[in-house]
Amino acid sequence: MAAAAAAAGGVPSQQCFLLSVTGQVESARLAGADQLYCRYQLHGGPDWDIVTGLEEGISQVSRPSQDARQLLVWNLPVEVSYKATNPYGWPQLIVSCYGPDLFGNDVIRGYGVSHLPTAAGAHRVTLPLFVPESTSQLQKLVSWFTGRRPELADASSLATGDGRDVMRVRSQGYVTCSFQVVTKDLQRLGYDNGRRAPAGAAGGDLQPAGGGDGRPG
Amino acid sequence: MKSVSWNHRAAVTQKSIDESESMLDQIRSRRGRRREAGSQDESQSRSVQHDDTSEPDETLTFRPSDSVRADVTDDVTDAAGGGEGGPSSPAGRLGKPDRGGGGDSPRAPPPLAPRRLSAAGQETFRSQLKKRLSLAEIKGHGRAARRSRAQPRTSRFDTLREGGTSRAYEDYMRATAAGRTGPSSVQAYDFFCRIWEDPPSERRAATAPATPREAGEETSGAAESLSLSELLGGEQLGPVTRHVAPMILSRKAQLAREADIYFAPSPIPIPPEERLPAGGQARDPAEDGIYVPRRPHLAGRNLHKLENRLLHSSDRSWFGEDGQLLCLPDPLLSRPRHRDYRDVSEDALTDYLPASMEAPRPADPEPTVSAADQPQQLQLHVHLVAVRLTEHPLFSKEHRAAAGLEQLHREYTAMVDDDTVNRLTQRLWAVRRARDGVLSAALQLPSADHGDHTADRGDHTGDHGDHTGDRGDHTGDRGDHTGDRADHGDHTGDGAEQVQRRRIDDYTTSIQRLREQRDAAAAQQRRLCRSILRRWRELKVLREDQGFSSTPLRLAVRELPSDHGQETELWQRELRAELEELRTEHDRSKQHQDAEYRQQLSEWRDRRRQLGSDSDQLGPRPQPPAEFDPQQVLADIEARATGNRRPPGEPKLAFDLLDTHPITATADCPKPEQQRRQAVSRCQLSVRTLIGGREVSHTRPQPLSQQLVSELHQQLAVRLRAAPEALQLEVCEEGTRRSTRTLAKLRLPAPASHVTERTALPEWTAFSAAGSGPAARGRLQAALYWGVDEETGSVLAPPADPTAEGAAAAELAAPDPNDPADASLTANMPDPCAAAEGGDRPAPLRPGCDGFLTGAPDPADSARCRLLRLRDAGVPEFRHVTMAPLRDQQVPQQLFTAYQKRLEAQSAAGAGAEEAGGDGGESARRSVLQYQLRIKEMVARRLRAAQKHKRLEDMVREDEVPDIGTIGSVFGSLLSVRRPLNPPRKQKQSRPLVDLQGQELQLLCHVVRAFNVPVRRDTDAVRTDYSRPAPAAQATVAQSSLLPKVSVRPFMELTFQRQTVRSNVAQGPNPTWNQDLKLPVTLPPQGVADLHSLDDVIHLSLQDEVLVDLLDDDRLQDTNVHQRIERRWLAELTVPFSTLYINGRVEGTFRLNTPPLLIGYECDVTARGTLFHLTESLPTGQTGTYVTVFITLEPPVNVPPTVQEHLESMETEKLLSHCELWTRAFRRDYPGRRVRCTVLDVTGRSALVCRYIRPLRPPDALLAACSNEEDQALLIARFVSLIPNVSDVNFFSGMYDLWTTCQEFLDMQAGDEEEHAILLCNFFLYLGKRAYLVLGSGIPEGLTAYVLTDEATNRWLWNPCTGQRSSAAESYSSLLSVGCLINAENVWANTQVYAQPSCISFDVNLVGDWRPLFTARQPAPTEMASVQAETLRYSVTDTARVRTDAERLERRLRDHLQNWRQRTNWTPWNRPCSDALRRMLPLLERSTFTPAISGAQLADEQTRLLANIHATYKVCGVPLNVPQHSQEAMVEALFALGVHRNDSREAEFALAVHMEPYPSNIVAVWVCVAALTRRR
Repeated sequence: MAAAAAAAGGVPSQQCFLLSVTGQVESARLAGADQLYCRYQLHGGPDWDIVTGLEEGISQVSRPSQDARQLLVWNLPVEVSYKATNPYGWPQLIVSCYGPDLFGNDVIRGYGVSHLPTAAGAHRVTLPLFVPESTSQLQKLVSWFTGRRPELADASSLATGDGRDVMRVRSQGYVTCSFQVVTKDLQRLGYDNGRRAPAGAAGGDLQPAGGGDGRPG
Repeated sequence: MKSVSWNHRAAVTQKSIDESESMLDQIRSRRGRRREAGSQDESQSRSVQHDDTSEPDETLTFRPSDSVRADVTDDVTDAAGGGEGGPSSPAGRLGKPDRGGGGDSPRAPPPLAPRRLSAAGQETFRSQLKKRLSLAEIKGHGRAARRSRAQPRTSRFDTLREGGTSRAYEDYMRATAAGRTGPSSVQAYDFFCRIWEDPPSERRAATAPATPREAGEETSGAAESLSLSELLGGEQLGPVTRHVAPMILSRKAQLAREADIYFAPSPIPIPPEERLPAGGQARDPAEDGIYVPRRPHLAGRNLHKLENRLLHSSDRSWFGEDGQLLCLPDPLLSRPRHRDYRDVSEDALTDYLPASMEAPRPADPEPTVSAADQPQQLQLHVHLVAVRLTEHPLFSKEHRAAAGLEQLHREYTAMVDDDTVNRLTQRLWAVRRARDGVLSAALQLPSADHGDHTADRGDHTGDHGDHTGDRGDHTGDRGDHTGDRADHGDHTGDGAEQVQRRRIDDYTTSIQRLREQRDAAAAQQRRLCRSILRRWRELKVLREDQGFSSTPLRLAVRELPSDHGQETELWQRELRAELEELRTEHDRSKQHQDAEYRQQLSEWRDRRRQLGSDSDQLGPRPQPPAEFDPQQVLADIEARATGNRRPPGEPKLAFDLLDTHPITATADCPKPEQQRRQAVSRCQLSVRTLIGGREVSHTRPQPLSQQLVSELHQQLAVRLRAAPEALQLEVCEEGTRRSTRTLAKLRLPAPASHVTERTALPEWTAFSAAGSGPAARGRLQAALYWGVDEETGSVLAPPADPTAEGAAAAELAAPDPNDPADASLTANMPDPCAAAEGGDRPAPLRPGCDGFLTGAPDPADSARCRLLRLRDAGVPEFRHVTMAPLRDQQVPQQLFTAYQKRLEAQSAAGAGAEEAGGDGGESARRSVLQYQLRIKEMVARRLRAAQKHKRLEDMVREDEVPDIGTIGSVFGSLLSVRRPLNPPRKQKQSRPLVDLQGQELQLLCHVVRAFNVPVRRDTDAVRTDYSRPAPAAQATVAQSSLLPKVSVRPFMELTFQRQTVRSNVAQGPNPTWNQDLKLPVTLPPQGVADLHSLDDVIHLSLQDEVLVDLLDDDRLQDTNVHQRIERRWLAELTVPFSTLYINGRVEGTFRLNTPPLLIGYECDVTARGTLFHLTESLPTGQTGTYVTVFITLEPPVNVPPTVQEHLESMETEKLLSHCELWTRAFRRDYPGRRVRCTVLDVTGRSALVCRYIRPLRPPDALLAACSNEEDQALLIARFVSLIPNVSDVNFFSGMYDLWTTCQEFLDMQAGDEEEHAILLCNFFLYLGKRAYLVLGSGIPEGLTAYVLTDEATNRWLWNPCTGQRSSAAESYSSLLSVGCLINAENVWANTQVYAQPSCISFDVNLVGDWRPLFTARQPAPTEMASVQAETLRYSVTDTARVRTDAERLERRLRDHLQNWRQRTNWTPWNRPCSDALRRMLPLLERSTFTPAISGAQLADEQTRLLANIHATYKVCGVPLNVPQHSQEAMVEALFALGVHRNDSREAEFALAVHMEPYPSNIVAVWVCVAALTRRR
């Protein structure tokens, strides 16, 4: 383990690339939710290390907007910088939304997960939300009454594929996030994420781009 | 009937309103009287009504009951007086409850002010009136409805109510409006009491005044209407209401009428013929091969209703040809679609590029990718349509005949379609015309030669012939005569004649050739015709003969219309032309023949001249060439033509092969045919597609129809990197038992580059069975084409290479499966059994290169790649590597060196395991360790897949559904006592491990009390208690048993992971603490999830706190206190953490692990029972110290359940299911009792437990050591207990209950209770004891295994891990419950009421007490091969090596002790004491298995050995005996003793290590450590 620690600590800055993401968990569209707050957490692979920023955050309680859109706006800032030696395990953003149900119990309203955009630039990502389903109708009824609906034991397990086969989920709504992504040294280290930095610029070109459902290698 | 005209009414209304009001007053008062009298009730009024109905025609006589009158007046009154207050309630009239409040109670009518209606009043009046009227309407309807059943006809009352009332209003209104005068009293009476009978038209007019006629009337009586309209503010009163008498009909009539109107569609299906248009026949498009999409599901009942409804409206257009309702295909997709990528723009989608190992190019960040480098994107689509068999073992005779007929018909059709005969005829004529043209052209030239040829064909003029001849050349000959045409023009030259002649010759030969061809083709066609007819006749005969038909084939012969005259003319022309040609040919050949004849004749004459006329050798005279005989030739030609071609009179036939012959139903067929059809219906065909020898798809098996056609209709798309040469298809026959037999193989060449879906046509390809299988022949219909990129529209095909393609096509056009050139294709064929299920998705395929890009360095060489791979594989050294360096150079090599070393050691251990032993000692131990590692790795590998399976509970947190029991307990808790006298412990809800992230896990130990603690023996010289008097007085006090002797001050100390916490000090040998001790648990580096791998041991030691007086000066004792606290180790309890982890808690009263000899202390047996009643529960004669503790984890953790994977087993399925059922039944009946039938071995196979039991010979050394059988047993038990006890959880790092065999157990030198017990049991069986393996639960280890020996004297329960035995009847045993007994033959589950060993009988033959696994009904398998080896291999222990090991260990422990005593930096070692201790240790070892050596003897021996030392020192020491697990464990145990904490400056130490060697490298390790204090 000592060797592993040495390996982890002794990565010189030339030998890793940086990914800096600033953004917001902007809003949610979730039918039937009167009040909602969300929690985000970032989950990176073993070769990813947070340089600055918070790995987790929790938002205020939001109410739907008084118009047809019924948006639940949080604008919860997400700011994190990673350094990494391997695109494997590209960080993922996991959003969990909670809100009171009919009886005032705080219940889970939706989980959503998405990779952070791989390409530099501004991105808007829409995360579909889902909640685990009860195992039976009776269970559903009981959980509705008691306000203890099934929820994930560990939301970060969404970032891994484990156990996804055993749970059944139901779609809920969408969460919209916006990210501004800056990468450094990806090209220098031979990784091609589809974007060419303009000559002399370290960061990415900040032209608007679509959502970043990229596929890290 | 009297009708009242409007005029009359107008007259009536010429009254003042005052009058009317007065009249109203009268009426009201009358009504009031009636109400007061209360004489009217509902029943009466009803009776009146009934009376009325009996006299419907009574009109003029009015016998009004008061009620009727009151009813009428009521309304009028209310209406009139509506301006005032609320409407007076008429509810009392009929007692109707719906009329609102107050109706029943008699009340005064509201005061009606006699006044004129003001304008405002008019408004109110109007509204009131409307309200009233609508009310009346409602009333009328309601009543009518009520009475509709009882009363078929309208009563007068109703007439009055409904017709009269409204008119009365109007009249009244008019009166009020016109004259504002009320009617006279007579009129008023008349108004109310008369029966108004109007003709229906009148009534309608009254109620509907808006009709034009009415309007006219209105104008005629302008005065009244005008005033009325004035009154209503210019607004017509309007059609206030219309009361229609309910039409009461009898139920039957009603139903009859309803039947006219209503239509109730029946849910009964309609016969299909009704659904079809008249005379139509149902046609199933699916049978015709037309794709029929799936219809949406509709319940049959509803569908039939709908069909009935549609048919009822006589609309057949809703039904299709098949008689089914027309509908769109089911719009629902059978497969759920996931998310769409609307939100994701195109450029954001990352393109997958294969990883390349090229070094990054920092200088040039713009790698240019040329088009050539781009991998080809090819997409080949294969559309398999159908397979039609033409020969197969399942074919019947009829099928064969039908197939023959079909074949003939196909050929015939091809010929007809091709129009061969006609074409050749046309061509023939064209050439003839061309020749004629040339001839006629030649005629124009002055040529002598052409003079012979008279152009007798008047129908061909020269120029015309030339023209048509050219055209004929073009159409027919296709360049056969290009050479001719080329020199067509230069006939003017010198050789023109020559050319002409040559051309005519050419034409003649080609005419001859064409004629022959035409004749052959015509003959062929005619032959085909004949054979088709013959075959058809045969088929018909066959069908008749066999009495049934199984093919639907029917030949329809049509006679095509033909013009007889024209045909004859053509025929004749043809004959003439041919004759002419033959004549020409004959003429031409005649010249040759004449010359020949002449020559032959001259020769013959010469011969005759020489030989004479009568000579035999002369031979016949040569005949002159035959003259052309037109008659004869014509006859020949005609005969030939009739044979070959259709003569003019013969009907022209066309054949149509139809599928309309009725097939005999299977039931009507004879048995063999039925069997054949069944066999056909069972048969299924599938097609396997191989590209480049790799299987890319295997279609679903499609059933074979009775016509032996299998409709496949499957498409697949294959994405390719390189264009394949050909596609290999295999037609497979799916048998009944999932066996697939390849019928035939065929190859389809890859399509040309331009072939896409639009241009590709399914083509039939014939195949025939290859190899030794039964003959099968058939045709496969398939289409191959290239895919089209949807976006760019480009064809995803290889670039067209004309030469290669042509060559390939030429090569592949005739594929031969037996061709050795195809051997490479067939060699790469995958095993048909391992055929993967191919779907419709494009299967990625990379022909050629399988790994990384060629030319790149092998990634396995890259250190980083290796690191990542090892990490991914979960190799322990790499599992926790983070931030794996990016470049090879930065990968730390020490990572690999450690791993490499381990691998080498393992391989070395594996190699050296056999010849080990000579090395002995530590190296043997190391090899054992390696062996353990290997086994661990193997198990981990085997069960990794199982471990990865997550359950729903791991992922999702969900409340349990409350069942009846929970609900019951909830209600029960309401009724239960609030503070019960015997409160039970509430179970804490444990949580899954993931929940514990970030929380501190604590070890919680509640020590209650201990008893029978050893007391100090050697109390002289040192004052151990300041409360005691001076030493001088000590002797007397000590002897006095009356005073409580404070002989020991014990406390408990909990040590875990080098952390220590201790309890308070209690007094005396039976202390009580009641204290919680808590220690944090340091989690393993991997986190909580690896908690099971924590192999630390919880040490709970009982120690004595000794106060040592340090005051040197006795005089100061009264004033000063100067003492030192010393601690002395007395006993300990060790609980492996895994035990706590598995069981959740450890609680109970445990016997502490006391050394056989405690120097300086003694167990005061006499103290027991005299002072404390607590000890009474102890078994008599039982020595030892006991402690009551409760240990648990805080917060409680959820233990993952034991992996119950259904892996392969060596047992039969039947036996396994029996075991399963038996176990389940027992667990249901007796929850909590442990029973096992099958267990997993290290290879992951499950086996019956009985297979583990087998007599095994113990090591000879042990048998030889003692002669006494009992001693032998004890020694063997000692031997077994010396094998280190390691839990499966620790060992196999997972919740597996694996049972190793005895050999593996000995080799690994590690195992849990079961392995110990099995080994012990097997040894005992060898000794001839009746031994059983006992599974149950005990303390402290939870689920455990013991050995029961049934001996003559007693039944003993042996604890295999301690080697100690106790009588089964003893009430105080560490075995708490017995679940089952196991021996080599059977398993018996305990079905007795109690499970405690002391309470149960161990006679397994008692059916009521023990439930056997195998009974007479379910016997044990006959041959039950044991998993154990016949004899165990015992490696020889090297005693010399053991001795050196002991020395080494002693040195090491000494070093450790010195290190721990850093504070005092001086650790003097007392050598003589160490020697004495060393001498004592073998005796201690012997005492463990020799009951003859009692504690007293030991004490004596110790006194003898330590006599000298005792004289000078006060010795306090502990002998420690541990099975040799590892030296680290030994160090830990020593640390837990706490001897090093002696702070005394004068303290000296003694340490001795003794290792007693046992066979098979088993060593008993004794460590004795003592602290010495010099006596003063």
